[in-house]
Amino acid sequence: MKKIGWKLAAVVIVAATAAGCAQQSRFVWGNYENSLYTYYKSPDQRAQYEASLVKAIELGKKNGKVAPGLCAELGYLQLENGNLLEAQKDFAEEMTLFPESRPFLSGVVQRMTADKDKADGEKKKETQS
Amino acid sequence: MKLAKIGILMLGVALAGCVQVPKSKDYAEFRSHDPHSILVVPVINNTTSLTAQDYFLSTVSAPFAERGYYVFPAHMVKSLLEKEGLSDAGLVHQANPTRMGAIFSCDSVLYIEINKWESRYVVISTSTNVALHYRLASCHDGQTLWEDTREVTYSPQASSGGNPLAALIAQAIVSALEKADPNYMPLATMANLQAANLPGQGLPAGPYLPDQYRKDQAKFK
Repeated sequence: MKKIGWKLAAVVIVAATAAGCAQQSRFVWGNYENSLYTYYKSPDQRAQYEASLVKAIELGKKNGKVAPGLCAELGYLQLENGNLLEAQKDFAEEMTLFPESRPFLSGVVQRMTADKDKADGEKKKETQS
Repeated sequence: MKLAKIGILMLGVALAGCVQVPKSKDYAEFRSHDPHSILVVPVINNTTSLTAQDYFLSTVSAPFAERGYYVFPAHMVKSLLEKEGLSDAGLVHQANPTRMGAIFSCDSVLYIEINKWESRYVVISTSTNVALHYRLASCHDGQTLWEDTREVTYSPQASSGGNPLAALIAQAIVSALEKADPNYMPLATMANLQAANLPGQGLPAGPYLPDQYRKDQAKFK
């Protein structure tokens, strides 16, 4: 028992020292950099970029360290996918976490809903005529 | 991945410790403007590497955001600028920063130029070299708030197991691999970390680092 206690203490000390050495990062980035790099290198790798954004945001939310830009990046992919509701949700999240993004992103959301209304209006006209 | 990142970070910090520290920069302009957000715009590539600028863009956000600033979504910004007909980095860099401010409501714009992005194969070792220039300008009045130049070199070392011939062969193999597909990303990350973090040279802590924000005058005068 005593022996195990010593071993445990040694492990704890080593772990604590190692933790002290590594600079604590302010935000959780997950695999954002690598996945964006891979996406730029081969544009067919878009899905893994999207997946890594989702994962990094999920991890960041657990301890309140979602990195700036990630929710907006994901929202932009959703916008490209045509998922306007999802996009709007992601942009709203970014604006709540980082008010600096609000003037820019609220403009994006406004334009995107205006475009949608216009498209819906045209669709209506087509079905009516 | 995470370990590798910590490794780079630690290496960056260790290197930062070794580098002879040049004269501290003047932060009066920076402090009086007190930027809270940074827009990273497409990078100017002055090298012959065709893809350097795209690859590089993925390494900028994290090091600068970690200094406590809101960094705008780099890929979204790049795509939107392309849609606005501003896909040419030269045009974006030439435009007044206040124009970017009008579009993105950002406090500052970070302009980066890549001046070196190359691998040199010298006999049996390859050295990879990256040189960058950074300029942060205010979107409110166009003033330059901060400028920096970084050059980082990396030569992969194969571990020598005591046998000189084996070590030589191992070195040649490592070099050939590096030459075939040079990995510039760790270098670019290291350069960005140094540019953002070096005391007296990098960026003072921003508002997302509340325990250091406006309290680091000793490091950044």
